[in-house]
Amino acid sequence: MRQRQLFKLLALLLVFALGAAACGGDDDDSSDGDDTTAGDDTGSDDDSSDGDDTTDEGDDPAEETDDDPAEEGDVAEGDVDTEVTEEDPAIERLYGGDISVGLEAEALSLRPWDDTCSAPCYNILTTLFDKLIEQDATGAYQGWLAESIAPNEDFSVWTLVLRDGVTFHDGSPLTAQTIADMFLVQLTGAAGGSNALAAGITDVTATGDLDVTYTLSSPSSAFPAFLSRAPLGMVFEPGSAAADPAAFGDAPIGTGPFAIDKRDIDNETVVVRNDNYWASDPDGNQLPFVDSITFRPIPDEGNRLDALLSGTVDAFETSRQNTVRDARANSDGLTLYEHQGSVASGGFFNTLVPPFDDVRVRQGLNQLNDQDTVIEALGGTGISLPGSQFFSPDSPWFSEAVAAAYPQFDFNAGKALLQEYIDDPGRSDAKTTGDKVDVELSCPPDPTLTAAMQVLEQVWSASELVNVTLTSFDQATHIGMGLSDATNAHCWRFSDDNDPSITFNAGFAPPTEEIAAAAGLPGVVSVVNWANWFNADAFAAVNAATQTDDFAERKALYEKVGLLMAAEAPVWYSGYTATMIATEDSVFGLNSWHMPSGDLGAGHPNAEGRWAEVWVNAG
Amino acid sequence: MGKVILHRLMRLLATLFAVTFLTFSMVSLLPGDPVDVILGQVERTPELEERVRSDLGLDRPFLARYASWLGDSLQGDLGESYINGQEVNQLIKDRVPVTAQLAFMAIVMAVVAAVPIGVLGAYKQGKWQDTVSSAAVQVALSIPNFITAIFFVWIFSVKLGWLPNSNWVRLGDGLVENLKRAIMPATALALTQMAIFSRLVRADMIATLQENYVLAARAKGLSNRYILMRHALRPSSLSLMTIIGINFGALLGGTVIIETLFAIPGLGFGLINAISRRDILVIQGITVFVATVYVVINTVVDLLYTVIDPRIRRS
Repeated sequence: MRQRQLFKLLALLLVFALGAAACGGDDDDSSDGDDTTAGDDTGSDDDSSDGDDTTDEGDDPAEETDDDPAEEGDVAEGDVDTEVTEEDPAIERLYGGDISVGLEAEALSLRPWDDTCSAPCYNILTTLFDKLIEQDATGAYQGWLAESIAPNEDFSVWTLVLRDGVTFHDGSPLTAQTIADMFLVQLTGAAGGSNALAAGITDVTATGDLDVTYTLSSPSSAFPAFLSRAPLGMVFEPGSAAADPAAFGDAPIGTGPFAIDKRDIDNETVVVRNDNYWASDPDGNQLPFVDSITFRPIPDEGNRLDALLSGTVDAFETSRQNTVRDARANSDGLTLYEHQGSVASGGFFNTLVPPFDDVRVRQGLNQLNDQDTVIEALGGTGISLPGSQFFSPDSPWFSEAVAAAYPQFDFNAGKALLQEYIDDPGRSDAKTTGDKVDVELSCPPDPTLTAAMQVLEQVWSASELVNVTLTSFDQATHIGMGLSDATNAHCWRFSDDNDPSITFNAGFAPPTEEIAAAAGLPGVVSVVNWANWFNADAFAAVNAATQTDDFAERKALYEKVGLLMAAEAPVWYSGYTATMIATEDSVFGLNSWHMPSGDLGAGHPNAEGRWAEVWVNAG
Repeated sequence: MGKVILHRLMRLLATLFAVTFLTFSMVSLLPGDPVDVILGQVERTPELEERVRSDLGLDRPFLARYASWLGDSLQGDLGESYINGQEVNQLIKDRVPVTAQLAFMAIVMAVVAAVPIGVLGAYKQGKWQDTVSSAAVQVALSIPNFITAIFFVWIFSVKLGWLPNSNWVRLGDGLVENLKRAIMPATALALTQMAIFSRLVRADMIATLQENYVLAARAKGLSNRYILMRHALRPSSLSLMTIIGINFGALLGGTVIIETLFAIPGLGFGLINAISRRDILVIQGITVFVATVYVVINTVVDLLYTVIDPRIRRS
């Protein structure tokens, strides 16, 4: 009898739980701000930065462009909305509240000079560290901790003037000598060392209390771009960093809007309001608004979205198209901040090895690349636009001419090109005439990437001219194999929203000593020319683009590179990577942070949020 | 007894030596380079690569690196993470309580559920109670724990909003908040364990209930409950004890998926991150720790046999 009662009780409990689950709504327990309005309590009487203190406009290369970059690329349709807009002024800015943010991965460490940084890491680091330069909503570079930055005539020496009155979290002042000392620490770091090399910095000298001079090994009109990112642009306190680098990773000291409160790796990183922060919003409200932010690495995509839907976190970020899709489908009570930047997905061929040393094979495989189906496999239909170049249609650098020239999906035309190679007695892979082409396609073991690669495998194999082998290695191995040219076709992501020179200069340099010598460029060798594709005209154009700050001229040069790439097809594209930060609908301001000049900032490129101007208003 | 302990200790050391050498070898043989993780996809020169490699000690031969690591480890220093410089000792110290708590909760929940189910199944062998419990156990055994976990999250986090599905709170930072976060992952882990344990208890109990001394107890008119609990359960718990020990050790290193799913900063989550970053010393440290605990627990379980069963002690 007792057993029967027990079974009944268990059954009732199960029915109750399932019934409650079916009827229950999503938890609306959002972050709550207190009642303090922005105008009531600034938290500090430091008013050194009031929005009038802007960059020296006459010296800002971005300001000297002939065209307005913002008007160049606004052609995307049917994809994510990347527009950066002002927040509704009617929504009251409130101080207080705590926000919890779910990230797709943990930041490797909090040492900007030492570690490579991606979106999760940038979300944390930009709360702790200010950058010398920032990108505004048009993609142009403006001063952040720098009030101005100006080149000499040939762009080989850059003089930067720092903002006055900025202090680190430990109270020490930011001076020009700080930047010079910081550079010595940056050189010791793995990421800092490699970026200093890429930027060509040979010397950093304090030439005044707030004046810093950067000397470059070769002219670069795009140099400010390097100061807008980690590891060279993020300002940290160099004394403590040099004294104990490992300890600095747990207790970093920057000038950012928040200071570190707790660092529990793989669990939580808590940052708290820096009451002495130098910046204010355009209305004069001292930043930041919220009291604290807790960053949580939640690597599982579905669980991270569930964490937001259940109110476990107040915001999350993703760079997966299917998560963007799922968030859209569950967007009640959420605000979705979407972005489609210039991170182009696809892959590259190792053009130094047969059969990919023959353009007919590369073009043929490109024409057999059914982009729409690949994007569908990635979960990106209606989210990602098909790629055609390193710049998305939302980018000021996007070229319609390159888009038109990029080989479109044409099964029969692709087959014809491959057949021509296969029937060529002098084919480079030394196989018998008529034999199929062998392609080993390598990808990290991500389910959506695997699905996308399976689409390529099917369509390439359907030509009956290609033997496709899929291989899968973890990310670290995948990068290593790309560097060592161990396989012949890699799926990859190209480019970003930064100045093109960052990607292009090293990416198009000679891949080997032999090629460099043959091109009359001895010693100019890059291991990150992933496709090992070298074209002297393209490399000349890439270099010329760093000798001028004229936007139209630079764009024409990058367009030339794009057209050469479309013709020689060293890479293939699927779609551009859409990213998203989603928040409870009580969280505001992520899309509308401002430069010290009052201009709108770059928003949330590639799911990198800027949290200083974010506030919570549950009302 | 002393000889037994000494013998066990020797076996423990040999096992650990084999584990460390094999782990070090396997991790070193894996394709992929920590230097690539550290430098990322940016421009580098061979000199820079060599400098990073030298800083990490990766430029030395495999055996030299292993010998150096082994020497330091014997002095209690498991080294530092290649990626962020964190001491491996501290990393393990931070993570062990988390995974141990999950494993402990899972085992306790599993045992509490498994023993009555197993006893009931044995006592009512062939009857409907046995059929129902066996079917339920089969279902629990068949469903991977991460599927159960996802189902729990959907019900208790997303739909009901009762339990958080991430944001781990350490035990020392609040018992209630900790338990709210631990209950779903621990239960997901427990279900499979419960299924294994209850099948074991049932099988052992069925065998024990055939023993002559049990028949004698019945003949003496002792109650069924008394016979089950006092005469049958204790000798039937030997296999259970063994499997609890083995599975506790296995859970310490086997919670990778559940910890990753719930973003729980335990050993499993640390291990998976270290593998993806080619953080060799962290992989090595966690593996050695798990192997040590595993072997020690098994040794303790073996020794406990003698306490539970006087026949073993006498033999």
